[in-house]
Amino acid sequence: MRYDSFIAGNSPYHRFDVRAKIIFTVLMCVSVFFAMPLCLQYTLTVLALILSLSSVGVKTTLKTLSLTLPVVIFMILFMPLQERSGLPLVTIRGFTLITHEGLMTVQVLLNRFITISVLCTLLIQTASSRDILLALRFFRLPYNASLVLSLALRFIPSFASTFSRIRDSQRLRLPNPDENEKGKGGYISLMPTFTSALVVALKSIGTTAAFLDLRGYGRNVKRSDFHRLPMGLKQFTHLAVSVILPLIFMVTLEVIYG
Amino acid sequence: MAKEKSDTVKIATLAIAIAVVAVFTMIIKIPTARGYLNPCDVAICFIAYTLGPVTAGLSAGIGTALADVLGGYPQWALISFLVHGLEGLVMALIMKGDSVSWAKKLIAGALCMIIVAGGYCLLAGAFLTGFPTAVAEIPGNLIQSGVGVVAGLALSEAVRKAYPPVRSISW
Repeated sequence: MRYDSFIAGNSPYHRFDVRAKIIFTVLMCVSVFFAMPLCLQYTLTVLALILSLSSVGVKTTLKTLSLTLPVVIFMILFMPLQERSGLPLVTIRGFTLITHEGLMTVQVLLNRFITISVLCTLLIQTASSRDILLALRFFRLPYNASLVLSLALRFIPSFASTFSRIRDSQRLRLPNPDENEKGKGGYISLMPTFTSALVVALKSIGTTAAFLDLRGYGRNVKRSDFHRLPMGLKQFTHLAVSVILPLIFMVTLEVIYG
Repeated sequence: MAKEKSDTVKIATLAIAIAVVAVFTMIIKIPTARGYLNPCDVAICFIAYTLGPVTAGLSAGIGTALADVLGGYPQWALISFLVHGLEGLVMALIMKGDSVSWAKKLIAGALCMIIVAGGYCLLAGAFLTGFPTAVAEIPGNLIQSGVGVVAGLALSEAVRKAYPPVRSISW
């Protein structure tokens, strides 16, 4: 199992400053909720997909879309419940199945969901968790909060590995480990694993706290601090583009369709 | 000096609780319409019962949001942060104290189920999927949180027996 969605690459979006990418993603996710014609919703979705295809490739983009597929199928299946009033489009024995308004609403929701999913996923695929953390620090995330996130991100793979090893050892304690395949027995068969894994995690609190003391946490002059992201003309341009483009788009939507 | 040491323990506890919630969320996944069902509520219930309201609220919210981000479902991260954060906080506030009666545990469990199912339905319905799809997810969320509460409470008792110093970690 992977514990980071980052995919190394050299695309323009990869090279775009991580702070600018965060701002751009947030503003674009907000902009999809503005009133706009359906064709513009589709255009936004297509643009998001093109950005994803050019940055992480076809295979990864398809994987992102496949993760949204169950929700998309459910949204289509529940379309008859979306809007009961309006112009009937499909009627079976007097029962209105799909109305024009319902069809429009579902298309808006689908486009919105896919655009948000693709843009958010693209952000974490083109920026490492370390860079995102440094960007959050740039956006004035407090030192303690950054430290907690940083420690948690480092502890996740190690704890997951411990969890898997404990689960494997617990399976070996069964008369025939193959009798208890994955999924059989539910949570009850996992209880000894959960208990042991949690005891291991709790025991590591003291060690982690001791390491923090050793690293100089709490002293006026810290022995270590977070690396600072550079802020030159290039980064400033990226930030300006990431703010100005979505803002122009949103103001235009508000003026024309608001 | 004592205050500094106490702060390092708080930071370490919070970081490890976040990692525990994230791993419990990521390691076992049952695919559904919303994304997937997972035993995150087991970890949240354990932390709420054992480690106190601040750790429970923050670790539940941040841990599940991190799991969504790392697992390829970042569009759900904000909703998970709000819903599970509230779930952990409310459960921990109800179950605060050394001896917790079964009535309190029952109330905490029921509230947890309402918060998870209702929270996902309201927020996902309003911002992501529309209400018909969000309502269809209610049974799955109720089962996940219900099973999670029962297993989490049993787990808390087991861990308290296996590792008694856990009682002193709460803050």
